[in-house]
Amino acid sequence: MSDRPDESPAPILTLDKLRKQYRGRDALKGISLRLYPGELLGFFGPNGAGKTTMIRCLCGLLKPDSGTITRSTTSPTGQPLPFRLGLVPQNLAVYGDLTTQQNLEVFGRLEGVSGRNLRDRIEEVLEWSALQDRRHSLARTLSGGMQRRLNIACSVLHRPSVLLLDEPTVGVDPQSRERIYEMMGDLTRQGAAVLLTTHQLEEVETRCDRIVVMDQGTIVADGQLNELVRQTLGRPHRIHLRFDRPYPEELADFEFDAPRTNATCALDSMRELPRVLAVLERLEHVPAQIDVRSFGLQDVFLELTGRSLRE
Amino acid sequence: MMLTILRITYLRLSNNPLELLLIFVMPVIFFSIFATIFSHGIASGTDKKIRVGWVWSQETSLGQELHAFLEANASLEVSSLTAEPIADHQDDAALTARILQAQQTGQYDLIVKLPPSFPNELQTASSPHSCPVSLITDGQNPLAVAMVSSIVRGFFSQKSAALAVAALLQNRPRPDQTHSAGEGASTPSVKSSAPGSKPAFEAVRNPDDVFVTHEEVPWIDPKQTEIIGSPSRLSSAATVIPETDEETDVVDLLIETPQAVGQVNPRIAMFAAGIAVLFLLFSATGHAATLLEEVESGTLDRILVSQAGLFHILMGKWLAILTLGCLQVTVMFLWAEAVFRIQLAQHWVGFCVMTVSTSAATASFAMFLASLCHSRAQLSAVSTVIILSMSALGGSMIPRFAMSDRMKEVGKWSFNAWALDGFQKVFWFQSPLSSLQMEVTVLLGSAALLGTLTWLLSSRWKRGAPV
Repeated sequence: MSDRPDESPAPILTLDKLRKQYRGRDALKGISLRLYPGELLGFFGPNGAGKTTMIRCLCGLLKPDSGTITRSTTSPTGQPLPFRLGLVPQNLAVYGDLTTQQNLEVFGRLEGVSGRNLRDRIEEVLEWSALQDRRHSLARTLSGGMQRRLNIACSVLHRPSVLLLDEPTVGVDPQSRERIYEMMGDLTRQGAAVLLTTHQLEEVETRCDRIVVMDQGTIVADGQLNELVRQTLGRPHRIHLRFDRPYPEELADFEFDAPRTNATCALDSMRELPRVLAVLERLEHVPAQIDVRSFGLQDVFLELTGRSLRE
Repeated sequence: MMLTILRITYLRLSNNPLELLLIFVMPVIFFSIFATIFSHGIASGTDKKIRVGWVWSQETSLGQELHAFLEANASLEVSSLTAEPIADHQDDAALTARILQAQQTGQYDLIVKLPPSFPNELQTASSPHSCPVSLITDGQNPLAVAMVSSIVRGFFSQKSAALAVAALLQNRPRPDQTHSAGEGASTPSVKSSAPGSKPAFEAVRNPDDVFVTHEEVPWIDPKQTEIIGSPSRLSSAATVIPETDEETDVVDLLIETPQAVGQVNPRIAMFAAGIAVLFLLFSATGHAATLLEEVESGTLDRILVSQAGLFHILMGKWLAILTLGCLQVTVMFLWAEAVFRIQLAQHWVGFCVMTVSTSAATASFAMFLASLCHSRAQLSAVSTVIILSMSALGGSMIPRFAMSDRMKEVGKWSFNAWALDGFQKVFWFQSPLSSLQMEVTVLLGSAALLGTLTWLLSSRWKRGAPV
């Protein structure tokens, strides 16, 4: 987990009890959320959970039925700072028949960047997104990864204080994905708050400072991975023993199922593993199978949202 | 496998009602439009008659006969341009203005004008006096010129023939005199008859028998009745039917096109306008489709999140389509000027007014269609149907003179008709700018109305719009 700046506790964006009805059903059921400067927030949930509705409300594209969205206009040091929002849509929202540089120029102008400042920013952003060599290529001729990087680049020319990315790494090769996360890391180091929606759980686990899980219009979990695991699954590590026949005796720290062929032991830390494994040396019957696993976001996610298919 | 491919096609079509509309309904719509135009148009000869204006300097019996002859023709609709004959030369200017006004309003396809020198009656066949008749056309309906010329010449030919028959009957020897001359001593007319056939003049009991009704004159050879005056007598504004060296000058037919004075090739401007408006509509709709493309790709959301609002987006696109439209029409007319010499420089002010008005209307229309539709495919289908229908009704495909009055009225619901009328006034009638008031008002009014509707329909994309 990357570190969240301790000196900037004031949220840059605050959602309070946000409600929105969409086609007769509650898309948002009183969402409350805070987004902090320099934070990379992973936001995910099953399809139809209300993520897109929430992002559209955050952008101002949708008007919530009730609740408030508060945008901070002061820097972490208390200086007045204009709130600037950037949006990276899930689709490639660039003009395929414009070159990379032309796309950057028009989207920069739309964000109010102009003149020398715009030229400088285009150069910076081209370098940042590693697209200098393709600046004169038509966007539609770029590879999928390049197009994704351009899609992001077009949203940061005005140095947004909050950047919303809707599944920015869909269909991207590992190298480009790595580059995209480096780009997001750069932004958070510069103080921007980045909210990322994705279904790539591994990326969220390893890249995001904080994770928010949403389901059926509500936030069902909010915190760092360890916190989420503890909140939803208890201890984060588990040892599972399977016996060929019912095991007759009790084992310390292990719990048996009814047929007594399966036993599990939950651990707070992997440091406890040698102690528990030492117990196994004294068993009368050797287990047919021993599994040691740590819970991840997928376990949390399935625990919170269930296994039934959604939209 | 082929059946599976066939099934895929069937399934795709059945899932795309718009495509089905294009395939099956479009031809029916177009067939109906063209069938209506032609069944109630000039080709039918029933509902659509050639509207002939009648004006004379003095009432003469021959003029009355000609008037009655024209009125009796089922394919003509004759009405007087003025209540009284125009005898005074001082009224010539007023009459010219009245004729031009009638042409501009499209009241007549052709005006028949009898000058002061038009005789009271046709002279004898042996010493005929030429009868001057002016046919004044705005040049839009060449069919009207051909038909009325033919009918007028037919009148004079029959009249002349009737005179000739009357003269022959007067000099005809009595039957007993013929018999007394013995066999083989026949009259020249009898000589001209084929042996064994009925003598030509035996059918004629009266000179009026020759002057048959307008409906059937199969025995008149048009070449023999094409008797016209000398071109030297005509103004530069007039065109003359080629002179024949046969027969005598019974009618001096002068075809005048006042609008052609000082013009090189003004009719080409009309074609250029018709084509330009048609393509303007298509290209404008194509550019407006980028709005839906931006909606589908999420680019519109990105722009709306930026400092630009929906109003900026719509106005920016409208201005872009307007500018492109103006350039498109200008390029077409510059080409027409370079190759067909339509004298663009001479009419540039009116051209600019009409081009900007037309482009503004088409830009708003295209934006309206885009805001009405929910996808590019839908827009493509809808715009194709509407634009082709408008172009067919509005005169871009079929000349409006070929349409019935009803169809012309229907055509007024399209931009094409108003735009073509405006360009026609500029290039053909060479009217002053003030005469474009109605066309410009309608086009700019449409632009404003459709722009407002576009704004209302686009509100679903607006920031903070309720879902």
